Amino acid sequence: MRTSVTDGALLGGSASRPSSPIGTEAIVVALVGSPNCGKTTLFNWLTGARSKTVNYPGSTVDYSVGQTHPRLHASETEESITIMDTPGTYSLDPKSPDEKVTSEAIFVHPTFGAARLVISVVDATHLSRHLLVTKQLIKAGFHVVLAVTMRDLLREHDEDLDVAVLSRELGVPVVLIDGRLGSGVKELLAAARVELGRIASGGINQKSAVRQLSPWSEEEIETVLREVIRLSDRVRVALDKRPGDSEELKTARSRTRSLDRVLLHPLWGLTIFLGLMATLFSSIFWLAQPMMDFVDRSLSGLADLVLAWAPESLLAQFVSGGVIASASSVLVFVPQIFILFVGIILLEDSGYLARSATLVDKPLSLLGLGGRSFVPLLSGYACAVPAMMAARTINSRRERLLTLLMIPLMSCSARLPVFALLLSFLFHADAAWKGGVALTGIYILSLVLGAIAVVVVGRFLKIDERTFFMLELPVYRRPRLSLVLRQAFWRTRSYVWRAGPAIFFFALIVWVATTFPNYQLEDKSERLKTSYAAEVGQMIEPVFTPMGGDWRTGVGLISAFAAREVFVSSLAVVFQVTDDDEESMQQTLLSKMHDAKAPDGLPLFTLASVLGLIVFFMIALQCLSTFIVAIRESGNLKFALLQLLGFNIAGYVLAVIVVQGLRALGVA
Amino acid sequence: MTLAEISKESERVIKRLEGDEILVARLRELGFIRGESVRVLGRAPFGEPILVEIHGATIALRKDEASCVHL
Repeated sequence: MRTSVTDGALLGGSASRPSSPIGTEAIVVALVGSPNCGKTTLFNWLTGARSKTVNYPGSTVDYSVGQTHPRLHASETEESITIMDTPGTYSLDPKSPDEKVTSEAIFVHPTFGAARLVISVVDATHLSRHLLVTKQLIKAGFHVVLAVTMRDLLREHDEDLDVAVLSRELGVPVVLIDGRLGSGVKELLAAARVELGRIASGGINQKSAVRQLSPWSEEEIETVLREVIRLSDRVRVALDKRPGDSEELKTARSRTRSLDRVLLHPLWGLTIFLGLMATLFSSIFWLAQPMMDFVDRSLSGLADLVLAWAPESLLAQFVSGGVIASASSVLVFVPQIFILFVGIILLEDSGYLARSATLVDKPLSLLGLGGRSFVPLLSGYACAVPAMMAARTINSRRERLLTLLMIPLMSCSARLPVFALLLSFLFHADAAWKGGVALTGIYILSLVLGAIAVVVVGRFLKIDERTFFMLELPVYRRPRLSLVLRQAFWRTRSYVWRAGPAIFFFALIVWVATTFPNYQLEDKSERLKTSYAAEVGQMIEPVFTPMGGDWRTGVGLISAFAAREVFVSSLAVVFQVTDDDEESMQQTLLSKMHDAKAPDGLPLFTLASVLGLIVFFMIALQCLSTFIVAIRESGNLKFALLQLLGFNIAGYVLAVIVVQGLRALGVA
Repeated sequence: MTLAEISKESERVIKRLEGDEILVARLRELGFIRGESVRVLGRAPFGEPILVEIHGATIALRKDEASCVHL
C-alpha cells in the first residue's frame, strides 16, 4: 500500500474532520456514481451552499459533506439530512489507493460509519454502464435510491424513462432529476426520507446488515453488465410508444459525433483547441485586469482613509498597513480566479474538457503526464492555487503528483509585476516590443523548465501504479449560465477559505517584520531600513552577494514571501520612492535602481544581476499559500516540503550560476 | 487482431480481454465485455488516444489500453 494514506495521517486528519452539527450519530446519505454523471450538481442542489469540503481522515481524497437545504423540506419541523458526496467511480472494486479510500468512505467511514442510505446517481444517457455501480451497491447490502440525471437531455427530445420498469427490475425507488433546473430534487429527498423511515421502523438492524463487497469475478461482472445492458434497452423500449422517439436520443449522439469529427480532427481540432485555450488564457488577464485594479484601488483608498484618520496611532497603522493591505493581497486575485473557474466550468459542463484532455494526451504522456494535466497546467499561469485544485480531476496518482510538481513553475500572474519591472530595467531605452518578446521568452522557458523538472523527478518517483487514460467523452451540451456562475462562486469561495488565511497571515508577519521596531518613524524608508526584516537581510547579505544582490535585494526577496508582487513595492520603499502614482513610481524606481551602488561601489543592478533575479523568480517557490495547498492536494507533507525547498534552492543556485557565469564571460 | 489495430468505422465483436490485470478490469467495468460490438470512430491528433464507440457512448483509449481488447 502506498504512502498516501499514512502521510496524510501525519498532517492530522483530525483537523479536517467534520465537526458538529455532523456528529457520529448523524444520519448520513451518500451520493455514489461514475465520473461526469451529474453527482456534484445534484449535491449542490440538495445542499445549496451549505456544504464543506473535508478530507477523508488520513488521506488526500476529499469529498463534500452538507446538510439538506430547508427549501427542500416538506415542513419547517422536518430535520435536515447529512449528505456526503464521494469522488466519481466506475466500480466499487478499488484499483488504486485513492479509490480504496472512496469505497471505504461509504463502507466503513471512521466518522460516520457505513452510510445509512446510498443515492446511486446514474446518467440517463449512459444507463447501461452506470448501472453497474448501482448493482454493486445493492449487492453489497446498502439501501439504495436511484437518481437518474440528465433528464433534461431526454426532455429536449420529448423522451422519458420508464421509471416503473426500472424500479421494479432493480427493486429500489427511482427518481428522475433535471440537473439544470433542479426538478426532481425534492422528490428525491422525499423518496430518501421514505426509505430512511422504512429502515427505522422496519427494525432492520443496520449493524448486522452485510455491507461489504467481495471483489467480483470476471464472470459476475460480465453477467451483471449484460443484465443492465438488457435492462436499459428494455426501459427505452418501454417508452418507445410514440414512433420516432428513440431516434431522438440518437440525434443527440449523432450531433455529438459530427461535432467530434471537427473538434477532434488532427488539424481543425488542434486549431480550435489552441484558439479556445488562447481565449481562456487571455481572458484571465484582460478581462480580470480592470476588476483587479478596482479591488486594488478601493482597498488602498480605504487604507489611506484609515491612516489619514489617525496618522499617529499604531492601531491605524496596523489596520491600514497590516490588515487591509494583507486582505488586499488575498482579494486582488479573486476576480482572476473567478474568471478562471468560469472558464474551467464552461469547459466541463459543455463536455469539451474531456476532448481537450484527449487532444493533448499523447504529447503530455511522453513527459509522464496525461491529457487531464493540461487545464491545471494552463491555470498555473494565472495562479498555482486554483490550478492545484483543478488537478484533482487527474485520476492517476503519479500523473497528479507530477502535475502538482510542475504547476508552481508556470509563470503565475503574481510574478508579472516583478518581471515587468526587471524587464523595463533591462530594456529601458529600447523599443517596447523587446520587453514583450523577452516576457514571451520567460513564459516559454518556464514551460521548458517545468518539463525538465517533470522528467527528472519522474525518474525518481516510485509509484507502483498503472496509469491509464480511458476517458468517456460525454454528450455535448449547452452550459446553463446561472449554474456556471453559481459553481464558479462556490469554487472561488473555497479558494478564499483555503488560501486566504495563509496569505493573510504571512502578509501580516511580513508587515510586522518590515514595520517594527521603529514603527513610530515618519520616514517609511528609514523605518524599513531599521526594521527586523532589514536586520535579517543584512545578516544574510552574504547569501545574496553571489547572485549579485545586497541586503536591499534581500529585504525585497524576503517581503516577496507575502506575495511575489510585493517585491516591487518593498524595493520602492527601500529606495525611498515616494510617488503615489503607479507609473511615475515605476519610473522613479527604475532611475534609482540605475544609480544604486553595491557595497563595493559598483552598480547594484546590472544585466547579470537582473537576469539572476529573473531566473530566481521563475523557479523559486516563494508563495506559501501554494505550499499549503500542495500539502493538501498531494496529501504528502514530504512532497510539499521537498518542492518548497527544492524549487527555492534550485532557483538560488541557477541564479548564482547565471550571475557568476555572465561575470566570468565579462558581462557585468 | 486488437482494437488498436483495426481501421476506422468497421464494427467488430469483442472476443476477449487480455493484458495488464488492472487495465482489463477497468475496460470490463466500462462495458468492454465478450460478445459486445465496438467501432473505432477515429483517432486523436498524434495517433492516440483512439476513439471507440460502445453501447452508444464514445470512449477514448490509449493504444496500450485498446490493445487489450481482442476482436
